[in-house]
Amino acid sequence: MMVVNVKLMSMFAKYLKNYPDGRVDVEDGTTVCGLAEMLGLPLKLVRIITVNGKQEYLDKVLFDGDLLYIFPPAIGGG
Amino acid sequence: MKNGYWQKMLRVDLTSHKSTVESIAEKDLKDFIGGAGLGAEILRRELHEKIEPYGLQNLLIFATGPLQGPAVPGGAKFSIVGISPLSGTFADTAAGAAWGPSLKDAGYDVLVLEGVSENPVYIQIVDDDVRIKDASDLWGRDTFETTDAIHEQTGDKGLSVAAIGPAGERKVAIACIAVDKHSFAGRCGLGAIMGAKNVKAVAVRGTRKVEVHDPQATHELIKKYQKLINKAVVENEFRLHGTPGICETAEGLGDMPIKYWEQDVWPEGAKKLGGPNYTQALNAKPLPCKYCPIGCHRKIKITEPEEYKYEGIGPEYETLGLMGTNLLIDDPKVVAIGNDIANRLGLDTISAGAMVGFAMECFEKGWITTNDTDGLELRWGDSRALFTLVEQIGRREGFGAIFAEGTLQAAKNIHPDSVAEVVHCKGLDFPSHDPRACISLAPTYATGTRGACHFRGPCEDVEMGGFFIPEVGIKEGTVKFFERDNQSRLAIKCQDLGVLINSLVLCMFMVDGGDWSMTDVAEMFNAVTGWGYSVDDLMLAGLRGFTVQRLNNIRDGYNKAADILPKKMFQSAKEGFRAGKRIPFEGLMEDYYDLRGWDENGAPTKETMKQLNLA
Repeated sequence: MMVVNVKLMSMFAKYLKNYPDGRVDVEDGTTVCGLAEMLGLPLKLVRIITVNGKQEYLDKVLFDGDLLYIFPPAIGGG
Repeated sequence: MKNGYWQKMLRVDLTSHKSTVESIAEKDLKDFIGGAGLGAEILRRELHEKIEPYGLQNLLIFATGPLQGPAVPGGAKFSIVGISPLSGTFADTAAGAAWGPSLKDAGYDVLVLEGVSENPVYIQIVDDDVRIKDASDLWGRDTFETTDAIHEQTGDKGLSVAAIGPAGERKVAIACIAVDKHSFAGRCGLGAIMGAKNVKAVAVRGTRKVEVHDPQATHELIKKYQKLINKAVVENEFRLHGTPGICETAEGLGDMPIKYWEQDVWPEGAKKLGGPNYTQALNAKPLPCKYCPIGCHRKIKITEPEEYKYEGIGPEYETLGLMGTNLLIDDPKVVAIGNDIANRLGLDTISAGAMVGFAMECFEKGWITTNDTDGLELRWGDSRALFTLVEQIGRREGFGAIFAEGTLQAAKNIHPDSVAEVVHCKGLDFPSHDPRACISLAPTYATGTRGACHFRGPCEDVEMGGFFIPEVGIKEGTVKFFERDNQSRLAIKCQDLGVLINSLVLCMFMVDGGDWSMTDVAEMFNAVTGWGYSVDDLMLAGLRGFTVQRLNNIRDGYNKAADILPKKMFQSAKEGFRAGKRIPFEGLMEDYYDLRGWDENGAPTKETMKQLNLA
C-alpha cells in the first residue's frame, strides 16, 4: 500500500469528502484512472491531470507520496 | 425571402431626429451572416478615414443574424459595433437577454444610429412605430432605474431595454450598455459612444415573426438541440455553478489574474470565490436569457452580513477574476457588491477591475499616494478601495476621473514608468485569461481586432475545457500546453469561429460547454436560411468578417507594430503549473502571419483579399 495526496478541483471536490486531508491509500501500481474510478469520478469529465506539477494522463502509474491534481473542464470562461 | 432575415436596416439620424428603412442585399448576408461580421462591413463601407470616436461620424450598429427569429437555443443575442473610444479600433460587443429577438420581431435585422442628438433622448421601436423621445428626466439615472422608468413611462413592460448609466453619459471610455438589467454589452466602451450621441436607451418590442426556410425542420431541430444542450450542462454542472464554476481550475492552471498579473498562485482565494462555494455563499441560481437552456447568468441573494445584503445579479467568472483574485479579494460577496456598483453605473466590470488592480500596484510602488486619492488607501484586498474607486471611475469624479480615457491613458498621467506595467493589447485591458497558461492566447490577444479578448477566439477552452471543433481539425492533442506546434493555427480557427458565432449571432456557450457541434449549428442555420452551407462555408464567413474587422483597423493606422503583448506577459512564473515557462512569442507570430496570408506589415495580401471576395 502507499499514500497519494489528492486534490480534486472545482466540481470534483465532492468526490473527496471521505478524505478531508486528501490523503488516499491505494495499492502499489495504481494508475490515475484506477484511483479516479475508486473515488467515483466521472471519467468523461476528467480534463487535466498533473502529478507533482507535471501534466500527465489517466494511464500514469502513481507512486508513494505523489501529489495528484485532477481538473474538470473549465467551461464558461466568458 | 423566407431565410430568417427581413433584409431591412433601420437607420436613425440623431442629428435630424429622422429614421429611414433601407434594404440589405442578400449577398451581404450570405457573405457576412449578420452581427459582428456585417457590422464590420457596414463600418468599412461608410467610414473612409480615421474618425473621432465621440464625433458626428461614428456609427453605433445594433446587428442581429439569422437565428434571432425562431426560438433557437442561445439565439437571444445581438452585437453592437462601432469604433471604440478606448482603443480607437474596431469594436464589437455582444449581449443577450431579449433585445436581439425583439429587434427581429419588430421587423429589422439591423439598427444604425448616426449623428448626435442635441438633447438627451431614448429611442422606442415597436414595429413600424419609431419614436425619438425626450430623455431629460432619465439623464443621470443608473441603468436599472432607467429600464424601470421606461417601462413605467410607456406602460409597456414588453419593451426590451438597452440602456447606459452615468458612465456612458459622462463618456467614460469603459462604459457598457446594460440590457434588461442582466446582460451587458461590456467591452470596448461602446456605452460611451451611446452617451456621446445623447442616447440614454434603445427600447424595442415587436409583434412580427420573420419567415424561415423550413419551419417544420427548424422547430424539430430546436427541440432536439434544447434537449442535447440541457443534458450536457446538467452533467457538467455548468447550469449549477455558471461561469464561477471554473475559478479553481483556472487558477490551478495559471490562467487567472492574481495581484494585477504579478502573483503566480492563490489557490485558497480562487476556491473561496468560485463554485461550489460561490453557489452556496451567494444562494446563486441560474438566470437564463430568452430561449436559453443553460442559464449561465447568476441570480443571487446575500442575507448576511448586513453591509452586504443584496438581491440581484451575481458576478461572472471574468468579474471574479478582475475584481477578486486580481485585487487579492477572496470574498465573493465583496465582488458581488463591486459588480453591482459597476453594473448600475454602466461600466465594463473587466476593465473596471483591471483599473483598480493597476491603481493598487501604483499605490504599492509609490506612484500614487493618498495625496492624489483624497486620502483613499488603495491597498490589496481592500473592499472599500474597490467600491470607492469603481464609483469614482463610473461617475468620472475624484481620483477615479483619471481613468476616464482608459488604463493606458491614466498611466501616462500617473507616472512614466507605470505605462509599461499596464496589461492590455491596443488599449483593451486583459480579461481573466493569461496567455502564459494557454499560449495560443498570445497571438489571439496580440492580433485581436478589438484588442485583448479571449471570447473573440476562445482557444484557451480547447486546452482547459476540452472544447474541440473536429470539423476544422481542432481535436484532442492538436495542441499541448506550452508547446508551439499548432498553437497559431488554433488561434486563427478560434478567432474565425469567434467572429462567426458573433455574426450568427449565437451564444458561444452553446458550442463551448453545451456540446452543440458546428455540424449541428450548420444544420440549424440551413433549416432557417435554406442556403445549404457546410461548416467550411460558415467558417469562411467568419474569416471574411475577421478580415474586414482588421481592414477597419488598418484604415485607421494600426499595423503589425501594434500586434504586441505587454511586458508582464514575458515574466515567467516561479511556482504553479506554468513555473519557468515562457511564451515563444516571435515564433507564434511568424506562424500566425504565414497562416493568415498577411504581408510584412500585417495587412491581407491582394491574393488573400481576392480569395475572400473583398478585393
